[in-house]
Amino acid sequence: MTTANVEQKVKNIIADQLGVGEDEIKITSSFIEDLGADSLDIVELVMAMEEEFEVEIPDEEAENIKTVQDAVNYITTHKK
Amino acid sequence: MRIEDATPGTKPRPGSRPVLPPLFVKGKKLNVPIVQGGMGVGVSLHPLAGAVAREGGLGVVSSAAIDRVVSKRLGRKVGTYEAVREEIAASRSQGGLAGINIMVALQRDFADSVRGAIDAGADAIISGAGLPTSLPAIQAPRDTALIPIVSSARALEIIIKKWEKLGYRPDAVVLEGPLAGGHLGFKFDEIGLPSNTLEALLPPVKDMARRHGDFPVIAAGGIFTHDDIVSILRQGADGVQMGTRFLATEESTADDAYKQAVVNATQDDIVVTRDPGSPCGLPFRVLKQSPMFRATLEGRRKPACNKGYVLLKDGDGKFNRCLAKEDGDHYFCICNGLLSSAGYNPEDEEPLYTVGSNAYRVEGVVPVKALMDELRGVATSRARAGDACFAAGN
Repeated sequence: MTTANVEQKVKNIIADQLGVGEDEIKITSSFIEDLGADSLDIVELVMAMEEEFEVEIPDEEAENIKTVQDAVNYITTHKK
Repeated sequence: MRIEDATPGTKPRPGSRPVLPPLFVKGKKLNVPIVQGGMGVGVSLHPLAGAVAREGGLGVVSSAAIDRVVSKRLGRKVGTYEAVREEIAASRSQGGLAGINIMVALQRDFADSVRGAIDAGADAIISGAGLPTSLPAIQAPRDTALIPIVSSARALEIIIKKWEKLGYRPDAVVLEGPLAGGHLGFKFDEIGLPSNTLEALLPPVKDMARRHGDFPVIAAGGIFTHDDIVSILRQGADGVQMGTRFLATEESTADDAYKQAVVNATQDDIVVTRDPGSPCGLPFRVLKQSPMFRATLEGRRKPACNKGYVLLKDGDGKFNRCLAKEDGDHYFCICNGLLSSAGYNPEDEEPLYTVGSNAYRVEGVVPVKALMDELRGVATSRARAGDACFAAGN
């Protein structure tokens, strides 16, 4: 899967989970500050990404995923 | 479980009060379906938890700063693991069931607290103030029931999914509504929503529990009387958790000034605070006259912040940061404030008093036995009126 594909899928997941329009989601967007996510949203987002990309994101790693870019980076690095 | 109006097979006496059914958690029977809420720092320790256990409820010590508290009691320095083992053993030494409340927010000591509790044979670990998503992974819980605290079915669903991956199911859940004391699991602006009352939150949580092994749901937040317990059990709860009533007991180790502040409190004195707020980032219910709260509000708090239980990781991944230390005008120090409210190191900082929303209804400090009798519905109003320990009016 290309990085562009990962980014597009991540944006789809975010739009779906947070109920925001995809056009509002930028690669630099912060889940909490820009997209209005709360702590439960973040956990659900991480779980949805684990499922979609078949990767394990340990809690201590998930803490560092704060923006769309962070998520895309993590997935492209760790996806088998 | 159905609430009987009297012992099965006997005819209810006119005016008799419903008998509370037992609560079963991980195969263990609590004769009284009351969980005494964990109250940190230093409020619910073995004197309180042990007394509740003896009376048939679940006694719960708080893990918050327990190393410091137990070190003082023993007169020698012990770490968190050993301190937890000591308190659990002491709480269970006179019979009954006792466990521990371990806040997720206390990251630095979380795993040591969990291991100590399981190794001591705690009957339950109750864990909130964050999502305890990794709780079953720390150590095989053996006979210890693992009980998350949630404030919504959504949070419970997340925990169930995370725990499923670890091959574990909650043994029960505490559903804490917006009227509780301490930290609240709601956004500040959503605390008063009609959809967030305990009664509204209960059915979806009960439904979620039913679909995942039918574990018990323990309702919490604002439950004050025997009739409150009966009412919420009739709405589907299997048990209740209560904090503030147990704060105002002889056995609780809150400082006397704290207990007196609760007895003297009026409804207007009890507020949910955000700014100044808790460094944990959750809304927090306090008594307005708490000395530390007033000092912070008036911009005259001098952060000592020398305990470090609520630390966040810094850029190097070390537990090193706390908002209360960095910004003393907008955050109070729950380590020093709460330790001080139980009489520990009052010279470091002034006390902070947290209470549930019904604390203004507390009219006196009573022994645990009297409180449990009242809550079970076996103490009659007449007896209570004649008992000097009880203030009438419940």
